[in-house]
Order: sequence, then structure tokens, then C-alpha cells
Amino acid sequence: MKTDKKIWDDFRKGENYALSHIYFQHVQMLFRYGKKFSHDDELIKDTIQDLFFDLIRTRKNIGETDNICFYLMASFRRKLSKSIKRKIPLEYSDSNELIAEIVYSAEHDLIDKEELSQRETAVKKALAELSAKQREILFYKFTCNFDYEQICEIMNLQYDSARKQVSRALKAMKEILSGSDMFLFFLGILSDRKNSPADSAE
Amino acid sequence: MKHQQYLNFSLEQLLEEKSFISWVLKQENNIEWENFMESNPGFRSKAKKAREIIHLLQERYDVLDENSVLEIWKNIDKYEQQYKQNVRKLKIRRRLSWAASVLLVISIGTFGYMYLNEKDQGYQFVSSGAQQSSEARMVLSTGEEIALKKDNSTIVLNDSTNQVTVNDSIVDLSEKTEVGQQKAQMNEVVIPYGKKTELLLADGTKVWLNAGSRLAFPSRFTGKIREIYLEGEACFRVAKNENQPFIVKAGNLNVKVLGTHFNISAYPSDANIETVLLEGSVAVEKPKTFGLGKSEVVLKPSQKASFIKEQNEFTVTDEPDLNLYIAWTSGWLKYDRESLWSVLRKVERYYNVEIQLPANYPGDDEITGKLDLKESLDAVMVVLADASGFEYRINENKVAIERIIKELQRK
Repeated sequence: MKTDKKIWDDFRKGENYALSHIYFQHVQMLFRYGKKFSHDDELIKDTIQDLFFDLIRTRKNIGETDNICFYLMASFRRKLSKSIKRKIPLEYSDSNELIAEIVYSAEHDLIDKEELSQRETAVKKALAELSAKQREILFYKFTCNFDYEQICEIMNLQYDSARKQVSRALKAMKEILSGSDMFLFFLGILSDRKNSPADSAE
Repeated sequence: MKHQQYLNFSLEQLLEEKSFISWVLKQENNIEWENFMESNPGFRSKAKKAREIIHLLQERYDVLDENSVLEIWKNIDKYEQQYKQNVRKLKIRRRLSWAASVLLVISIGTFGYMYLNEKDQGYQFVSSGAQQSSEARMVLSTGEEIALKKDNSTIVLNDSTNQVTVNDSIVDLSEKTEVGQQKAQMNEVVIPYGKKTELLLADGTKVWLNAGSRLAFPSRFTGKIREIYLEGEACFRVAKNENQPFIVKAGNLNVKVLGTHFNISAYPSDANIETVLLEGSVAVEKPKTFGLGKSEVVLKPSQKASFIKEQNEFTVTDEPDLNLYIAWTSGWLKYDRESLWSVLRKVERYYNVEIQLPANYPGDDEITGKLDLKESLDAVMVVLADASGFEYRINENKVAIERIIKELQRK
């Protein structure tokens, strides 16, 4: 496998394979990411397309990266915020911030359920207490595996503030888990969708 | 073992560890982690908690449908081609002049090549003919088959990672190609009537493959020439590489290229093989008869070479409207004073149907127009019926054409 750095450098040099490789590897992630900020699918698709047009135009001048996903998401977020503002100027006129709307799978699965166990209630409550900003930080941290420097750059945050938000969020999570030992419960929900590494070990 | 350091980690510390998160998300180094947990039961429960927190925080997400993925990619690809062309415009004049000189060298080089090639009788397609099969598919050099599920599939060969992307799925070729093979192993793409596909070959050459066609090509171009085999119709935008000429073998013709944009139509059932040049320069070479006679023609842009198979002869004509020849790549069929026969034959290929004309029908009548092949067969037949004044009946995959009988018209 080639490293991100090599693929990116090949793209900058104008190697033919690199552009399609970068596109097909990241288009789903960009769409998934865009949907957090807007429900307008066409707007998201247009923004993805524009992002790649920009890359083609500026390929000779763009900088290095060893994390293509981060590079694309950071540029994508800037672009998306501009195009959303252009589309609905009034709603965003008072603030420059994009607001992510992140719904957790576990949360969603619990909505339809009529009777919740004690633990399910606790999980639901803990997740509900996470703010939009916290959710976005946790998304970068535990879905994209970015480090704090990257999270701060993408969201324009202070390092300390990002760390504090994470530790506050994790504290609540930790309490639920130590309050009960029913680990298997959630693996049941999640194993439908994911191949959790421990499932095979159990 | 580097995992040892994690033994004394708190839950929080573990959740700050990128390699741990990678394991949970992508099962990276799964064996090492499993072994480590096996031998440290105390750590196991901590790891499980951390993992569960990460899983709890996975969000619901939406997937972009395949059509949109390809649609966006087509726009990006087109944009890139246009952008490159604009940058290149200044250089074009200079390149054309040396392109001609390089072509001369190749034609001498190919003499020896042809001689060698006559011994091994050229290439035999492994797959069954495109006309017989109903499923579009790619046959890898290993014999493995990949179904192309869409009506308009996209195939991208990636030379450096040795992968092929078919629509959205990626197939790894690396463990399948053996090192030190004498001859490059060929992959084949088979497109039945009613489908078409776009390919990006390992050297960056773009190929549009039309309905009822087969193309054989290596996973990567290693030899002195880039050589592929075509049966049917394809449009090429060849990536320039003066050190490695590009040759399309179609029927018993060789079309040699340096870096151009051209269309070849070579259906076994057609009487002619047609090569139309859009940009650059190509040489079309026919088999020699007893080593006599001129065996190749060099085309200029906007020229067409028609090779009449029966007579083993070329005719070269100027073609003012190139769009006629490449409209199919974007889903249109254009025809300008073309016989009804010929247009109907193309419609047959695109829709995978059999069109029956009555024996006495004036199929040589010339018609002019444009059909949207993204429409249904019925919609297309209505247009043709209006233009040529016939009636038709569609019965499954047969279309019967009838002359409008004057007596019936009066009612």
C-alpha cells in the first residue's frame, strides 16, 4: 500500500492515477461528513465537486500532507460553510460557525424502543447531554482518529478547550459503564452493523 | 513488545491512544491486540470499556448512491481534461511536428514486430463473444470474473497500487500477477448489447467501450509498446508517452498512436473497420498481401480511414462533423445522411434487440437526426418511425417494422 504522502505527492506531480484514487477513497467520507452540516444533498455534492476542481486548478501549488482525509475534510468544511452561507444568508448572518448535527446509532436505536432498561435510559441520557460541539469533537477523535492539533485546526479551537470537552464527555460515558457490567448488551446492537474485533474473540 | 506500555494505562489514556482507536475502528494489528489481551486479562476489561465507549459514539451516517459518485467523478474527470488542454494549447503546434517524425520510426519498428506476430497468430479472446453473452463482465488475467452490474460501468486501473476499481469496489491485483512473466497477461472486458463502459487504463489512457464490444488489455504496460486488442467499437484518449507507442489491434488492422483522441469501429459483423481521428496523429496499418503495396495510411485530425475487409483496401475521407462518431460516448446517437439500415443496426446494439425489416423495405434511404439513447427503446423507435414513415411493433426483444400501407391511412 502506498502512503498518503506518496499518493498526494504523485497527485501534485500530475500522475494520472492519483486524482481518481483520492476521489474514490474519500468521496463517501466527505458526503457523510457534509450531511452533518446540511440536509441539502445537492449542495453537498456540488461542494465535493468544487473541492476537486480546486485541487486540479491548484495542484502545482498545494502543500504537502501525510493525511489526505484530514486535508480534504478541513478544506471541505471551509468550502461548505461558505456555500451554506451563500444559500441561506439570513440564518447564518449572526454567526460564522457551522453547527454539526450528529446522531449516534445507539441513540437512534433507542428512540423506537418503548421500554428502556435502566442502563439504556442512562446511555440515552448521557448521549443526550453531549452538545453539538462536543459531538463534533468526538466525531473527529473517535471516527476519524484525528489528534488534538488537527481537531483544533479544523474547528478553530484552543487545545485546552478541546481536551476539556473530551474529558467531560468521556466522564459521563465512563460512569454508565462502571455502573453496570452488561457489556454484551450494546455489542448486540452494534454487531449488526460493525465487525467489532472482540466479537470474534468472545 | 510495545503493547506492554498500555498495561498501566487508565481508560482515559487508552482513549487518547491513536493505535488503540485504529484497532477498534479498522481492526489494525488485530492479532497483536488479541494476543496481548489474551495474556493480560486485567487489561482486557479496560480495553472492552474503552472500545464500547468508542462504539457508543459512532454516529448514524448516510451513504452517497453509486450514480452520484460516478456522476461527480465524470465531471471532475472532464474538468481535468479541459484544464489540461487549456494549459497545453500553447505547446500543441510544436508537438504535432515531432509526432510525425516519431511515427515514421515506429512504422519501421513494427515491420519486425509484424513478422514476429504472424507466427503466433495474434490474440485470441478468452471470453465468449460479446454478442452471445448477456452480462457485462471483466475477466481478469487469472480467469477470475467480475460482473459489471451497471448499464454504464466505470473501470479504473491503478498502476502503482496494482488495483482495479470497478464502479465503487476495489479489486487487488498485486498477489495475482506473477513476477517474471514473459508476456503481459491480458484482462478482458466484455460488454453485451445494451450496455457500455468507461475504462481508465494503467497508463492513464481513457477508453469508452461501446455496446457489443470486447477489449483485452494488460494490468500494466511493461514492454516497449502498449498493446491492446479491440473487437467492436471504442473511443480512445491515449496518454502521451513517446517512449512507449500505443497500438490498438482491431480485426487484422494495427492502429498506432502516440497520444491522441480517436474512435475505432470494428464490429465483426460490419463490412468495414473505421478509424476516425479527433486529435493528434495515428497510422492505420493493414495486413500486407505478399509484402506488396502500401500497407498503412497516416491520418490527420478530422479524417476517417475505412478499411473494406473484403477488398483489403483503405479509403480515407475528410469528416467535418466528428460529433457523429463520438456522440455515443455521452449517450447520443447522431447520424447525418446515414442509411436507415445502418442506424437501425446501431439501435439494435444499444438496446440489445433484433430489428426486422420487411424484404422489400427501402433500407438504403438516408436519414439525418439525433437519438437520445438514455430514453426507452419505444421513445427512440417513435422518432425513427416518424422520420422514415414506418410502423413498428415491439415484442420482447424483437422489433418488427412494417411499411405504412396507404389504403389504411385514409381512415
